[in-house]
Amino acid sequence: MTDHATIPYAVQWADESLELLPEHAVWWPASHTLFIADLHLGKAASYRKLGQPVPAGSTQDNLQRLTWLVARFAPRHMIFLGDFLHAASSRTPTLLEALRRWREQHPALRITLVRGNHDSRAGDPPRELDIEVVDEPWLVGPFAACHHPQTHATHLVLAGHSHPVVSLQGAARDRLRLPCFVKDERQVTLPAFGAFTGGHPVEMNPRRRIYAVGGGRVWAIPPLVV
Amino acid sequence: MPEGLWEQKSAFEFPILQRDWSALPTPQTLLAETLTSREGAHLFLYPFAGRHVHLGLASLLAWRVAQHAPRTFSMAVNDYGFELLCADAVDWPQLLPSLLAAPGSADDLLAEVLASLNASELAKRRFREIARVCGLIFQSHPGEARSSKQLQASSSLFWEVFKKYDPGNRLLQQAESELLQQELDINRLRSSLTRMSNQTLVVKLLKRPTPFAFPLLVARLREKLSNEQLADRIARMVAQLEKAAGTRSMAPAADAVLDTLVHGQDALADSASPRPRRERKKSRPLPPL
Repeated sequence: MTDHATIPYAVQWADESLELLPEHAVWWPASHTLFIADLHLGKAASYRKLGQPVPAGSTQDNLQRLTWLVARFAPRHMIFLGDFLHAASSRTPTLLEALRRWREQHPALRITLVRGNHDSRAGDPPRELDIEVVDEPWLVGPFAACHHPQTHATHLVLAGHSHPVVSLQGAARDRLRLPCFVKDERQVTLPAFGAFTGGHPVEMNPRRRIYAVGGGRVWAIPPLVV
Repeated sequence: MPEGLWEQKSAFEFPILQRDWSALPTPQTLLAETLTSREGAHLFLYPFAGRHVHLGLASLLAWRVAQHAPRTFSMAVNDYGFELLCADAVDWPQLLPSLLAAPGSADDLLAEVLASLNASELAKRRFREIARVCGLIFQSHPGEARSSKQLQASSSLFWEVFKKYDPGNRLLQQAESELLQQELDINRLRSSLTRMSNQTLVVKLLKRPTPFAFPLLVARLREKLSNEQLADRIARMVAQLEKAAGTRSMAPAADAVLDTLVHGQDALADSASPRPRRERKKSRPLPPL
């Protein structure tokens, strides 16, 4: 898939070393854990069911990228921060079969899903996938794994749901809209992992740190100075 | 130049300004103007061929320049001419004669035009209309309830998904063929290029935007053409943001930019040290045309 080197961004949050990956995930080396948000598997399928001619291929793409991450980092634990399945209409035989085959390739990997709004409607993944399904906030180390952005009394929240994108402007009227990681004082929002997911613009404020993803790298955006 | 220039001078004096600051285009001359500003290097060219052909010409010229080295161009068009804006310097006086040489065969031109299509976002913009007409995206009217929340997706998202998983899709082809019929009509492009190659090229280096250049300079609806790596474009933006953060100033406010545009290079001299913001007098309405 990506044979050229991609450059992650190392941060130190909640006294833990983390890597923000240009593959739209967070790697926690000390625990061999990957955090991934907003996979929205089967979103294309549910659009097709409602009459929109969205082409097939996104599920394969998503699963291939997950496999790449597993091969690259050899995680022991993969935590999905919600919206694993997009809708009930996503539970097609093709998709479930593809998921089953993917799971067979990584049998020893512990997978946890923190329920998100789409999961509540789509239902939990099939039992045979051996995915532990929990509700937010789910505490792991110094982090609170959530789906919806929120704050937690004692732990740093890692969340998804808002599919953050940042609009960058540059010389010669250049404009780019890039998915990004958002670090607020007590919560971190991850960009959506899924192919065929939209994005919502993130508000810049001086206490927020934005890390844009593009061109195979993660870029720290200088904070807005008034 | 005194403040309130545009309000004080009447429309009849604009051709005089154009002539004094640059030159008046004639049927025998093709006027080109270059300008350097805070935004980068501007080229203004006035073929007077109508905005559709201008978009094709701008795209083609930008593409040809980008063959020498990876570039990102911002383009603006109107019925008089077009603007090409690049963050890095372009030696327009040196390049233009060869860029505007008489065109070869229609097939060669078509190949170039198709190549330039992929580097620009013209097809993506066309696709937006097509997506709306065929019901892929919904644009409700004020007060109207939005249709099924389940089905909201932007035309950009559809564009990406089609490009990635179904590049031969009919809707994408439709966007391309519409462009080839209008902005990128090979025959019209060819005859424009032929006419331009028979004119005398006049290149003027501007200190400030002329009456012809100004409407293009401030045009908001712009197209983009790029064959640069995405990482390079982002690096440039981030470097600029870091520089701005370092000098403890935000991106210049509209007033400051307008100042620079109206008063030209002189206003740029003090960009490093902060100037006290001058109170702008309320402008008088423009005289009727």
